[in-house]
Amino acid sequence: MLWLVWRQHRWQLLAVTALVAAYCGYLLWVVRAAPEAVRACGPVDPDCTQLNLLNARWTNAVFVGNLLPLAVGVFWGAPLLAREVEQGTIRLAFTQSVSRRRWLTVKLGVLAGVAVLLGLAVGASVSWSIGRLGAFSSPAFGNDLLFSQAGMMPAATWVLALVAGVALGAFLRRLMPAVAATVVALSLVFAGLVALRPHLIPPVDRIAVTQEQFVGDPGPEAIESGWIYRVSYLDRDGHELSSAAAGRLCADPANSSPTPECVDRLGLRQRVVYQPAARYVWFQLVEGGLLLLVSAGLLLAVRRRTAAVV
Amino acid sequence: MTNAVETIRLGRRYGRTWALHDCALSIPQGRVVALVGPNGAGKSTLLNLVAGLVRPSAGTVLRFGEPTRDDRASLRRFAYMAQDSALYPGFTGADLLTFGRRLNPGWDDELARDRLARLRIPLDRRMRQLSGGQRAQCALVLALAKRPDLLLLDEPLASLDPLARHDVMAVLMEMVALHGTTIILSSHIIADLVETCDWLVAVNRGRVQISGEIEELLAGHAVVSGPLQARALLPDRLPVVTETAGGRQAQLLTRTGAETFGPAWSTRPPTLDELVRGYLGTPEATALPGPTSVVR
Repeated sequence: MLWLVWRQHRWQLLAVTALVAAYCGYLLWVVRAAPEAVRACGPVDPDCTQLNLLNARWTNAVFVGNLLPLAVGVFWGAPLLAREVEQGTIRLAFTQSVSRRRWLTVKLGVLAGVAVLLGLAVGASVSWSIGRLGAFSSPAFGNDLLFSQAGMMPAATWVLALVAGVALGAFLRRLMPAVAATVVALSLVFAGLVALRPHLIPPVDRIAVTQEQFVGDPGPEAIESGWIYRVSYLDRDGHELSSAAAGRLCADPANSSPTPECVDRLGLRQRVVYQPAARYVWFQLVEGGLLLLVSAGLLLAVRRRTAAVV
Repeated sequence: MTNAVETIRLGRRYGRTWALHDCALSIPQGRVVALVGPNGAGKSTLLNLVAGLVRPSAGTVLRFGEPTRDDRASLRRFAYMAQDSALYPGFTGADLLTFGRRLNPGWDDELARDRLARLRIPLDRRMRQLSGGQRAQCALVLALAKRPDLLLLDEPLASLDPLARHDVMAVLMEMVALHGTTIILSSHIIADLVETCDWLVAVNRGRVQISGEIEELLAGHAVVSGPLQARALLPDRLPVVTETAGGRQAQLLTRTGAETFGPAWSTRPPTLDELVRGYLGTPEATALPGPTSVVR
């Protein structure tokens, strides 16, 4: 069976592996001079051209990286059953002395295993390059495009992409419709995840009384407190004001948020709705678990489908 | 000895239409079965059901007395060749042999190599580069070298030239003689089957019309011909399968042995072709399970 998996899927495996190698290589190449650029952009000598250029390139690369699961779904997943059905070779495959269950298990096992490895390679490259950019990178936690590319997230996404392609192929039974459906479905899943992500864990709603507890608004300090959904101010009567409204109240139109002096004068309290930075790993686990759970459900459907019909 | 194939009230429905309905068959081991019927009669559906590729909508199908199961022990006992003899287009002949060897514990590599060599099919040629006939031969090699106890062949002769047909039939006979393999092959061309097959199954409009040993079937039927104006003199209860009138002559295919009906009428045993055409032209006629016990 292993021979068959290699013989039938070698070009797809090699192509996607090459794609991932090129992607990871490019990411690492972009951030190779990052620490130097970060130093150059320090407070002493604010020459940030190189860092800006580098940051823009890197952000674009990560954006493109979000398309990689599509390659897995389209090249590995969709053809697995759809092409066999379309070619009629499924009858050949299912009348050898190998049970359908084993056929499916070995094929999906190998492909999912490789998808996890490649996904982890992508996640590691992205996470590592975030570290190289230091404070100048937007953090993975709270960034829609970066979150799905960092750490263990690509591995889970790729498994889902593979299984979704296989499932759509199993039900649509023709390659091109399966490919098209996989692209649409995975795009919708990605958009859905972005919309769902803030609600996975209820946020912390904190009211800070003294200015030491305030988070900067906005600024690098805000980033350190995690993923901030909303910052607002409460006046003495308990009315909620947006940052801009509070700034106007201070009669200081130059500021989009109130100055410390003004906060004292008006007795403002700060309200922050946010996810603490320590929850990053929990968000990864919850979303990754969700993706794997959906994958398992789809797998079950595929197995029942292949057991019933050809 | 258990039957190679047994079906009990077997049916398969696609949407609202029954591709095969209420099918009862018992095929003993070691037979070479000719499965005949017009296009869309349900031949492929029947073979797919026996191969376990399609699940029955009704009834059961048994291979060697056991229900079709999706496990190695059940799968290795039969081989199946699809009508389109679909093969992986990118596979070379060598890949095909590796495919067979890796996926089948009883694989007979020598048989496969010998046959491909004899057919002059190069091992380094890809399947998509071969002709339709060569592809069919490759698919057959894959089925033969699995060394099954039951060989299910859906139109194996359709894309072959007459010489190759003859050769394929000879190979099949060899399989039966050497290993006692049971073979079920479907075909439109009855002439190809006459010499080799010893069991006939006729399927028509999703129903099995005839199933039985060819010799018994032929002995149990008669072609009765005589003048048209003497038609009324034949007994009313004569079990007529089909009746044709050409000019002043009437010809009847009847489910009777070698009886005689007076001087005006001549009686002779039918040819296989006449028998098959007689039944397939009259879809409501049946002779099941054997010619001795007539249904209806």
